Amino acid sequence: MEVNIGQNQVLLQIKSDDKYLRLVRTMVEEVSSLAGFAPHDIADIVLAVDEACANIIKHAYNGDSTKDIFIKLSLLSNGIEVVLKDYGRKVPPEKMKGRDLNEVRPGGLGIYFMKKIMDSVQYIIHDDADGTELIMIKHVKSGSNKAWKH
Amino acid sequence: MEFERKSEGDIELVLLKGDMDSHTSPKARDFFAGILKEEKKKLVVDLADVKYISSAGLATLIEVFQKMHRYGGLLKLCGMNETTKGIFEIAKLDSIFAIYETRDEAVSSFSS
Repeated sequence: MEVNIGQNQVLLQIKSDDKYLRLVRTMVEEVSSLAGFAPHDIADIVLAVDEACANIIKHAYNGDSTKDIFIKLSLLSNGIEVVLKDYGRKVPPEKMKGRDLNEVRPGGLGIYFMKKIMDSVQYIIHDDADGTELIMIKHVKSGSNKAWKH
Repeated sequence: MEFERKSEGDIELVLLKGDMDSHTSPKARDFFAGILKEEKKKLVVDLADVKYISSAGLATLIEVFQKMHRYGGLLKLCGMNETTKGIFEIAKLDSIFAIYETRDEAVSSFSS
């Protein structure tokens, strides 16, 4: 595991083992707080990033805990950008659909949470060597705590 | 994740402690498998000491709810903090589960 803290940016590299997700949540919570989000929004962002990491571990890496996940948390002038990168199995974005909530069953809620919580969720599938990037952005709503000033 | 289990008459009480995420949920699923095997009819799960729940934790509770329903059992949840409550609301599970503020309310609801 590796952590790099730069100006307005935190880079985190973890192995694809869900024992590290608690650590990721703590980091996301702190950076979201710095970005000026209200407590309920911070909890939501933490959930969205946790779900994204769990999906990478389960679907991209098929539960192999030895692979790498790169997480970049950037403070925007009015919110946060989260970029997750993996080098696992490439799943076409159209197949990454949340399930119908009227259908009560275990599983399938992760993507739904990410799309519901974040203002923007975008997958970029690069050529073989460059892996998959998931870019999620959320803006501070007016009425929340003050936004981060660069 | 830790589990405390006790009985109050014919009601099983379970107190969960810790985060319910994709790391801890397999352990929770194993724990609940024991209760489901005994086909307990009345179960209260107290989430007061659960600080965080992800879709993996929700999946575990949905599974318990559905398996109990199949043999005529009832699952009731209580003690959720605001974060956990918010996650149930986003997933629209607050209308599926019987949710109570306190453990006493959940227990007494079985006799009403």
